[in-house]
Amino acid sequence: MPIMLSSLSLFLGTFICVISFFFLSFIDTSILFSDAKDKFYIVSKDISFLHTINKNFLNINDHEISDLTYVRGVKRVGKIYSSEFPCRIFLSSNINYYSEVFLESLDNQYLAIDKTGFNWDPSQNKIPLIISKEFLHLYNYSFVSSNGLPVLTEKTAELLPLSIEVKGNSNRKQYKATIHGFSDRYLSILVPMEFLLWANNYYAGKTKSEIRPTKLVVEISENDPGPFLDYIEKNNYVIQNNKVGISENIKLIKVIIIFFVFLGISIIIVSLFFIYFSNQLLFEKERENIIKLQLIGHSFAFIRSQLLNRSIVAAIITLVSAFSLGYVGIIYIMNQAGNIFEFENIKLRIFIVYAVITISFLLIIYITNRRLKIRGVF
Amino acid sequence: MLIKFEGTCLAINKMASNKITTTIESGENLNIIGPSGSGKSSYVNALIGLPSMLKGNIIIDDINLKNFHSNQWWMMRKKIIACVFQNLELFQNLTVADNINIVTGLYKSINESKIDFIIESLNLNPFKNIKAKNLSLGELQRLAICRALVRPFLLLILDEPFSHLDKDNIQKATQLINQISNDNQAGIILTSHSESQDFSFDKTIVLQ
Repeated sequence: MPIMLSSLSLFLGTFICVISFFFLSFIDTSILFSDAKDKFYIVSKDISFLHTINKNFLNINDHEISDLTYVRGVKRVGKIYSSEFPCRIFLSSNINYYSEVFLESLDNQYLAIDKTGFNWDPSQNKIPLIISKEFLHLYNYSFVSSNGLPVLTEKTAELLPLSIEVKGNSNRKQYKATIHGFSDRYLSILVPMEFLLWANNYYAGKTKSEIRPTKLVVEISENDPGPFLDYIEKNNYVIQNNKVGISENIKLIKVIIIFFVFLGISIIIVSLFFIYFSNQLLFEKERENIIKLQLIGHSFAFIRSQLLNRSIVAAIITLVSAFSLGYVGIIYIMNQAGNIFEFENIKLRIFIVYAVITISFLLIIYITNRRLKIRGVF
Repeated sequence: MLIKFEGTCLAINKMASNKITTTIESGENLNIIGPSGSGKSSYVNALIGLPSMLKGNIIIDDINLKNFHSNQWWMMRKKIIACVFQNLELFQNLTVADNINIVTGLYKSINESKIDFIIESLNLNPFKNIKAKNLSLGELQRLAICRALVRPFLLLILDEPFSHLDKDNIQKATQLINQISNDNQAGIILTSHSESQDFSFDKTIVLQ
């Protein structure tokens, strides 16, 4: 009975370790969110007192951009420009809705949606927009109830007759606007780069050389954004899309998983002690019989091996079962997860680690039980 | 095999005159006589490797038993010494047959017909499948004797082996022991309260 209980707890501890270690191995990829494959970070400068004095301190210069490209894991860096003129978006229909907005633009290669047709023709009075999905959610769950507005889906929103009114530098104009698509990567309203650069010049008097990006979009090429995140923190940048939340969540999840790893290891250690002491108790209980066996010619080593065979066999079965079950469970989870996770060589790594753990435990059980002594036996 | 007793006596016995020094050669028989508490079983325990109150040295083939390590004791008990203990040391929860098999299982070449003969001679056949805890003291003593005789030995130690046997059974057991010992060319060490007439002894140790 004690051997059975010890084996069960050994199984439980090993199983917890196996599953926890598996999750710890790939937690650095953004596993919990639908855009887990999105390795784009929106970066801007952390707002400090200096920025209240001069907003130009928010601009990111070419030197800073160049430094960022050299950080390990950074694949490419795109500039995001902001509008420097007031503008307003409204519905050109019976629905009374408008909002003061700002516009942003970036190179089309960083767009997360179909770029076809996302450009500006100066001869046409039409601007394509890419709206943030968050904006639509905000509209549906906040503006609709407070303003008696209709709920919109992405498809119905794309059909809305929108207009953008821009003014500045003694100029004022309304443009027809169409929603080209919705993005969950960028939180602002995006317009084609050609329009924004032209509009900043026409409505804000800024030349192309005077315009500086206030944000950057950074693509990370590795599963581990650690070096990039460290650089960001050290250089007073902040991350603006929800990757910050994800990173912090991942840290918290890692802490929790590590706790479970230690819990599993603690259970394993206690189980091994339990096996050792239950064998010791068994020897004490059978002491008289063991002495009798020795008196008629049996060796102590043989007697001990007969008694210990049970616990060693139980340990082998337990560890192999826990290892196999854990491994099968992991493969099942990986297959169910499909393309969300990236598992380069992880199967082989996990197999090697668990084989080492299993063999180590068996050696520990064998060595510690060989040291078992019986009081009074010669 | 040469067994030398040098100045042996009970630890609690302070009189120098009680120290025993004698030698037994291979095949010789020794009778250790003494009243209860004189230390007869201490000699047996010392020879078999159990904790003993015996002082002095027992030297077997120039090796002092005090210097034996566990492997040497194991070889001694397996190949050289067979013992009938005063408290029998049988496995109470095993049957008569199992108590015998647990000894014979140690040896690769055991003569099965010899085992049957010994069991038959000691009249243990009817009890083969009965657990030891259900036997009488006399039956247990016969089983202990049987278990000592079924295996090879060079020295047979008998610690008051007939204390619960009647005359008839003593006679049968004595005949059998003499026969098997002669076959093995083995010596006998017998402890008893008084001089034993069952065997012919080459040496006698009298304890007080």
